[in-house]
Amino acid sequence: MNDDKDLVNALVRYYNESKSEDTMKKKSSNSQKEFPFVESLRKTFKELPKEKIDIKKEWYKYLEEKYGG
Amino acid sequence: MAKILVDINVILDAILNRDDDSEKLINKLIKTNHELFITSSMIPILDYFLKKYKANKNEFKKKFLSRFKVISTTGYEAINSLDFKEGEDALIALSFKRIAGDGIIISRNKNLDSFGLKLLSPQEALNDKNLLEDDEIDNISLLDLAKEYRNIIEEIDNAILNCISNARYILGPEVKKLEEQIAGYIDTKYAVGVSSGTDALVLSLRALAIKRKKKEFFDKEDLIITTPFTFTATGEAILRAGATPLFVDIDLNTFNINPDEITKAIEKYGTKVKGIIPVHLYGQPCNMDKITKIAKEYDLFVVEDCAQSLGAKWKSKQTGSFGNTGCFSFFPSKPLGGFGDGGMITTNDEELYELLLMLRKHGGKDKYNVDYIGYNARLDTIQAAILLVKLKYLDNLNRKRRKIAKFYNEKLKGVDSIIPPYEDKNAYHVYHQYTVRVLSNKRDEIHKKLKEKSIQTMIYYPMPLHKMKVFLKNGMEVFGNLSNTEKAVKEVLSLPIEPLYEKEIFEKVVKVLKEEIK
Repeated sequence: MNDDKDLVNALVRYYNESKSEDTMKKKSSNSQKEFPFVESLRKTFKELPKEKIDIKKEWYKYLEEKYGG
Repeated sequence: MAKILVDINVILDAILNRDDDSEKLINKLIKTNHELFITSSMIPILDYFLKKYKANKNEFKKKFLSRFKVISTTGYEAINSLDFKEGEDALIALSFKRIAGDGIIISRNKNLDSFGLKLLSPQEALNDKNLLEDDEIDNISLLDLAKEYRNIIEEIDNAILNCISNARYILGPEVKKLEEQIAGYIDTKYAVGVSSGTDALVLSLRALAIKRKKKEFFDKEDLIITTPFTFTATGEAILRAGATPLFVDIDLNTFNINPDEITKAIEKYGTKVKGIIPVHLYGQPCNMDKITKIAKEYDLFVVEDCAQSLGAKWKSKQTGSFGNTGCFSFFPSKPLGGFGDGGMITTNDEELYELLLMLRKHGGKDKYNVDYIGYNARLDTIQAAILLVKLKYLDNLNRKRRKIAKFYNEKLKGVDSIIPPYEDKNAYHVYHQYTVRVLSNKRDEIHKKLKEKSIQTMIYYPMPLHKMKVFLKNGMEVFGNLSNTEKAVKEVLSLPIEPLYEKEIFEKVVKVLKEEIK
């Protein structure tokens, strides 16, 4: 009876431990190597500017509108 | 591996303006092992553009934060930034410099005061081959605690600031919460937060003396069996509790105390032996079936020294759940390391639990009328706050350590004069240390040669307890000739095991080790 229990425990242990013990990957970002990071960020936007914008200028303009006299 | 702060304008230029250089640069940077940052002061700009162009913020956050960390800007840095012409830029550079004194800033603003940090434009960064292609590995340390902090910097900073603001510095709610979580994790009824792993051992032994002997301390004639191949704290705790350590030899495969030798020692010393302190050395659990069986047979207590084994299991059962108590350390380099000293005792015994609560707080429930000779040995609230954050990542980091060990095992198998660590088939080893045996008297030479190649290795431990002045002076018993221990102290060498290091680093360690062992 105990042997059976031990066997079951051993199998459960083996399963739990082996599923997470894949070979070590080279570089954490390896999975992203083929992955266009900027494009993936861009895809989270519903809209994009139609022409090039001046980030700093637009930000200051926004601040001026929000907080300016 | 560099720490790089990327100006938010460069990031937004890449995403919104499809600026070629910025996009290429960021896509290349994320493929390196460099750590990438922005500062919290950049978030309002990011937020404005996320809103304006209707981004899915959650999705953006998830993807962006998978690679970029956000550094807090403090009030102190904000005040200092006002001393400079461009306060906004100064705040960014000052905050970044705090966590990365050797960092690099990438910005279009060539006038940005970088406070001595290297400043590159996106174009310059793109042309810097060292930065993007040659991911040079410089110093390899055993662990990189600063890197581990930076990896979860936002959560840690938040936990510390909240804890400080709440001002419940002694036994605050975070201590209770951590005790509950550790008890749940180990699967014991109780857990008591204490000031160190050493104090966890001392308090456990004191509580056992009170419970079993009805005395404050053990008597000098009382023997407590332990391994001589451990950190001094294990033996020191026995002396501090009034007893005498009885050193029993180890199994050279596991480096842990040999249960068969325990039985023989008990047969020799009889009822003088009161208990056993098995040490789950390097994160490898002792054979707890045999040890608990022996303890039961001879009516001995078991105090598990789990200083290096949080997360390790013997037949799927956590270390720290077998003995009368389990003693954990939160020393910074431990599997769950705080930002200072800390420890935890786990137990299923209600009486011991009540005694431990008293002993850690001067020895009584009523601090103005105490019952026992106690200690000021509480776990600090701020340490508990940090540990609560880190506990969430423990299993993942332990899994990474096991992967590193597997890699080392494969690469070092069959290498002349090297014996990789053995893992018992019933054990779930967490590799707090990856410790090999270096044969043929080559250990010290290899240790030195790796140091010359900027690879840190450590010798845990160069001297067995039975040879230390403190035990020779204050009393000990030695069973047998301890020949395995004597051998181990001359052969063991612990290799780098930082779970956040990339594979290239371990490849380099193996390469240099193989070259030097020839």
